[in-house]
Amino acid sequence: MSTRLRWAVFGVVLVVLAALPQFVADTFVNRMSEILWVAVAALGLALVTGYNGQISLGHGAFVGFGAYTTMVLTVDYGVPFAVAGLAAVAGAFVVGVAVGLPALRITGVYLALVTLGLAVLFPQIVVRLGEITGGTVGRQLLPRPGYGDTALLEELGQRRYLAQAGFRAPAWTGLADDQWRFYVFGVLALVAFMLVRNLTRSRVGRSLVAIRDNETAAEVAGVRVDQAKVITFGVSAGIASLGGWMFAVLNNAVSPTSFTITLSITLLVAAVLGGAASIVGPLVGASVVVLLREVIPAEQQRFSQVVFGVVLIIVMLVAPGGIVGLYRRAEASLRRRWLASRQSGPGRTGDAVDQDQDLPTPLQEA
Amino acid sequence: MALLEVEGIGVRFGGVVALDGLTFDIAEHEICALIGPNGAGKTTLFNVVSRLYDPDEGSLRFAGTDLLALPAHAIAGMGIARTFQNLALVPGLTVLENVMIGAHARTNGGFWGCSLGLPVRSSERRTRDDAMSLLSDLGLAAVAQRPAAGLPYGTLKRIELARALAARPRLLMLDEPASGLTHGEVAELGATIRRLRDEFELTVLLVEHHMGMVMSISEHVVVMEFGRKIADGVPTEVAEDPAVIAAYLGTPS
Repeated sequence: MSTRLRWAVFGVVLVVLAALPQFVADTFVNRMSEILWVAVAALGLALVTGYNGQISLGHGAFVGFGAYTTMVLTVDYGVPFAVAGLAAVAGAFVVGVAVGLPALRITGVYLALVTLGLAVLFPQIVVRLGEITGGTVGRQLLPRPGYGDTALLEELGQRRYLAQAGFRAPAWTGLADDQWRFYVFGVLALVAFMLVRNLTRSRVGRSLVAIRDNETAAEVAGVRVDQAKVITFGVSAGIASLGGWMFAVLNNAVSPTSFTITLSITLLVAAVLGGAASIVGPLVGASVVVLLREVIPAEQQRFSQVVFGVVLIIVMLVAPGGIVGLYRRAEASLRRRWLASRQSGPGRTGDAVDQDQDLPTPLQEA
Repeated sequence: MALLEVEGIGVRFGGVVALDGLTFDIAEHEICALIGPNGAGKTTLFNVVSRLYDPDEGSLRFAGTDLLALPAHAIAGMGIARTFQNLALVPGLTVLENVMIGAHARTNGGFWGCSLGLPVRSSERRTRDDAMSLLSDLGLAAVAQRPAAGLPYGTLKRIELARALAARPRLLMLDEPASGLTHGEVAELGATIRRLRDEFELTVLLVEHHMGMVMSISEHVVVMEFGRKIADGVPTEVAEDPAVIAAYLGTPS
């Protein structure tokens, strides 16, 4: 597709998605919101694993960090949701950098194992910090009886109060909560995807891929390899944490069972399935993962991981570039055929086929 | 004044002495060839200058600056660019993007700036145009949008050369640029190196086994054997040096 056509399709999709919540049931709207948080979290993973080559099997922990930070700040400290979101992203960036530093010394399978440890550890830490996190049962973001009574709580010497009851649509919008949530998610996802898209197409993005493919080449070209890797890990964790904020806002509850190794694997499947080194890849992958779970009957849910596993194997064998990679290959072969037919046609000279800026390139997003 | 001053550089890997007190100077704007049998330590010296290896002894100055005080990523910014004997391209990027990587040290923009996009757009365009003109200059314009993998070996070597030039270096280090090239390509490469030297006001340090090319394009030849320098001078002088002849042909026993 030419760049202009691509933007046109993008615009139409955006308008359709914006209009959709007016016409469909709230469960469907919530499903789309779920796709969005999974997509944002998978985007974070795609940046560090797909583009930068640092394999992380622990990004579910950063999503959990974002969700719990949001819950604690809004419920216990009365912080507005927007501020809690910023804090969740900034906090996860710091944690991500802290994890990224030792990651400089280890790569490949070893890094995968260490991050796997992170994923396993996170629910354990949450359970240990039961005072704050609510332990194994987790906590709600909605008011509990008596919690609204600030005076009483202060009398009891507790600093617990509730500034807001969940993430509600402001009255001026005239929207239902689920619709408002979807729009907010949509804007956040759009901003996150656009920022990462710009990044991957810049000198920094090129240096990240160079580090992935050939660290020495990157270093000799003047790339500060260590710095880039650590910051990428931090940024990636921050994006995943934004996904965690969205999770908390969507579900109004957090519990350790939501952020186990299963989530980390699900994110990896979403990123790889869509195409880990592409921008729309995580969104495509997240849609497939969420909808795939949807078609599996409720009583068979425990088999969803098996289905993911099988799908992942098939994708890796058939299309290592994921769904987006498959699309690009198909587009390239169609283009070649089209060019060939045009060239052999009457009245065309060979030089008419100039260097087309739109030939699929490894870093060009569909 | 010498542009690069190599003085008493020694590198040991365990018990193996790769470089043993190597000393020589390269004058600005000359083409200097570093030759010697395999294992003489030529590539090791390249890696020392690139700061990929830490020498055990000796000093290394570039335009008066102590290179050994700098980290590897700062070398490109000093004006030193290189190619690799076994190619070090980035297959996940296009040919054009690979060349743009070469300009990394000359451009600005961190994570934030690049994510927001707008402030760096004009510099990005300049980098792209510059890389494209380098590719055209080296006859690579047709492959600019192709991934930098699966292309003919000679093409890949020229892409690496374009990437090194994108850094606008003062010193260009070429590690066996003629290896794997056909006879015709070698002759063309020799002419290209001389032309680039004049056009970009380069100083060239060249590791090469192809003696025809070395003798025809270089003004200065340093001969190494077992990590030591055995001859240093103009090509005609070096070619007649008994030590050099012995190193290449062996001594009659």
